[in-house]
Amino acid sequence: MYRRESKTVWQEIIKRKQCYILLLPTFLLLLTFNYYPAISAIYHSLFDWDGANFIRYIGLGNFTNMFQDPTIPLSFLNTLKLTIASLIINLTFPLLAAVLIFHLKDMKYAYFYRVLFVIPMVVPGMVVFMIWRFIYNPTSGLLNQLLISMGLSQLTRPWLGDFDLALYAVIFVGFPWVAGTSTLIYLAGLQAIPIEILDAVSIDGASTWTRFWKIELPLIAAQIKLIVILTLIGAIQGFVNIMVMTNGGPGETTMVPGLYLYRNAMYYNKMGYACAIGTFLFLIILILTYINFKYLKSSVEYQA
Amino acid sequence: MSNTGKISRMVLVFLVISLMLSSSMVIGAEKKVVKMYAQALTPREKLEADRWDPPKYMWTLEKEYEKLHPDVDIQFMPEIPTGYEEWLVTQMTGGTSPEIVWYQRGYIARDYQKGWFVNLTPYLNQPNPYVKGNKKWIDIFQPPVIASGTAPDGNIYMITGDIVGTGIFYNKDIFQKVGVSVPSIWSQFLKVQSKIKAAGYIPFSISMDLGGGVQLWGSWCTRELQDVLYDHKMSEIKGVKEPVKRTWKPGENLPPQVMVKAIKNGTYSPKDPEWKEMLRILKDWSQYWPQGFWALPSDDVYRLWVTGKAAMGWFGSWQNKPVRFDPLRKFEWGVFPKIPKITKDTSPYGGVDFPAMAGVGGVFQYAIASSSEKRGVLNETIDWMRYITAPQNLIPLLNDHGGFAPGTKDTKGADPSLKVYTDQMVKYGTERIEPFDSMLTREFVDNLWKLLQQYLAGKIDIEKMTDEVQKEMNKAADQLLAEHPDWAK
Repeated sequence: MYRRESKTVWQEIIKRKQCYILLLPTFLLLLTFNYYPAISAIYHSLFDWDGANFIRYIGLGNFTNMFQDPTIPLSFLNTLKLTIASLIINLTFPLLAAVLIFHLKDMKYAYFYRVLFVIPMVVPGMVVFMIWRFIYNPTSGLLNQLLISMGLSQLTRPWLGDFDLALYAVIFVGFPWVAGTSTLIYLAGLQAIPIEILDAVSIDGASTWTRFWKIELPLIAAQIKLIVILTLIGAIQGFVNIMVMTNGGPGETTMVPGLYLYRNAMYYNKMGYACAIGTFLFLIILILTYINFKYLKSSVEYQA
Repeated sequence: MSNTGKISRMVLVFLVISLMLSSSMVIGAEKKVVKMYAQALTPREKLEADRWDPPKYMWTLEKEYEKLHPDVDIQFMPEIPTGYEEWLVTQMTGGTSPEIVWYQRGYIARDYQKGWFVNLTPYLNQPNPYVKGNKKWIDIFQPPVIASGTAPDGNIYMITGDIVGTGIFYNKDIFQKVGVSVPSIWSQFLKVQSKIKAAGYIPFSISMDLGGGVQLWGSWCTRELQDVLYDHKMSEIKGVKEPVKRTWKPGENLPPQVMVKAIKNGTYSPKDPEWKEMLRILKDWSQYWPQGFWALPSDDVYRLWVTGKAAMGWFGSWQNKPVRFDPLRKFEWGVFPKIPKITKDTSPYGGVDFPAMAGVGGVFQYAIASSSEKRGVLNETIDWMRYITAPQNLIPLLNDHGGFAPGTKDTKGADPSLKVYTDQMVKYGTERIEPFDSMLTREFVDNLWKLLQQYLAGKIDIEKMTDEVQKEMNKAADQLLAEHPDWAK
């Protein structure tokens, strides 16, 4: 009878030392640049700290201040709007693009469109934001010039300077939102569906809509779950688009917690307070990720 | 070959490469490296996109200096177009900044206690060997210029070596076409703009964008207007009986500690009629600014003017060279270096000339990082600074840039086209209330600009605006008092 050889963890590690040696740099980099700053931020959130010399323990003082700071609820409300918009966008447009590519009969065209949707990903995000900032420019921007040339000059406005529209103008950046990682993730999910299932559906005479709704969508639930998590994290933490395009303005109409954190850390010398905002964001993301894992099904299995 | 053997070989190759690299570093370490972030004086080659020649004279000075000191290697960092303040904070906090950094002299009161910068007072009292017969380095500068880098502890932390000015640049062709002339009083100024607007031009190019515009033009506008409108109340704010005269000497105006005290005892408040008058005048003027000025990228302010879409713009002496050589400009231009006077007819608090919007320290305001001492290059860094501040080097350096007048006593050979700005400054003095960002806190200033945007865009009324500013002002004053308890005395 086969008897499994019992080995200690250390013996296992020594046996596979080559793998561990190769993984070591990655772990070191992760520890240095990801885990250490995160743990340090949680620790420093309990201090009144200017980032340089002055440091004083204040317990939960920074968190108490957060709840009295009028910019905090306003920025979180903006984040909520941005998150909902990002979820709607990422769960519809890229999915639609992926399904359309997947359903193309000619593989040459499928490959062509896949490449076409991937190419814009090589353009740095910052460049995209700068281009859109130019599109929205109030005096010489493409959008206003287009409206003027169409005889709709009454519709021109300072898009990023409009107190009521600025946030929506930021959301609109990247329209039609089909190029990017989300499309590729959905496409990978669709391509992983066993061909036998799709053939069986065709033989049964299911319509395209039924095939999408009853077969394809449930079978890419794991991809949807991943997109939901990535979108949540991106929307809650992200602020580069806001910083480049509006810097939180006009007034505070596009302020988000990430940008407010950054301003407190970099401009106001309130590193401790910035750490507290970061810790709070971390907790929110943690809870949302847990809910996502707990209540969103990963996949549906079909039995013949 | 076994996997272990392959790995052993890889490790060996890695070690050999590491040894080679470290040995080359040892060879390089023979020279002492002094790194400098020279901001707008950073030398660089002309790019295809450049419409005028970039500065290069630092390279000339570098070569000459290295010939004199073969053991020193001067290196210039590339210019950082955006996010410089964030970059500086991280570099200073990590102790990895270049030896010499460009720094806003006004912020020294805020940051000197952080231990980022070297106290230069002892060095300034030693001779500058590059200036013939000089006994103390400090003596080569005009006293107000070098004194501008003084922190509240009485020590100088900055080498400030230039003078900067601003003025209203105008399009003479548009003025002629519309039939208007340079206004001398505020009511005429508004009438001129009204006629220009009626002719289909943007009267005045300006931005109050949070990305940079409001930090520049918002600051200039509020400082200039406050100086005029609060003129009768300056002594009360300063807590003295004699009149507070305008000078161009920093430190003789109303320093932060005086303003904090005035805020706390209520002699200076956004609820003052003078403050409200400032807001009213600004709002009235803003009807002649570009559409959506609160979101107009600050780069577009110059572009609107130089392409002939806007008739006027408020620019600095640093635009002197660009305007002269810019191929986009197809019109005759002029500068009126002073804002037209607000008379009693316009405002009950008017009747006083505007001060010159000028000052000491433009491009040549450098601090030396404390980390240079740890790296063992402080003496070399100081010596390089002595070399470039010697008038025979500083003046051609500033002329090469074309936008800043020298702040040394010896100004022989300085660009005469900049004289208009320095004359205005010496004649009229500069504003007595310091910019909000050096007077209070950066957080206060950010909140003030956000509120100003909302007020100018008609989103909040004057009462709401001033109530909110008062709250923010009190908060900033309390924070500064907590940081500087001696200011309460």
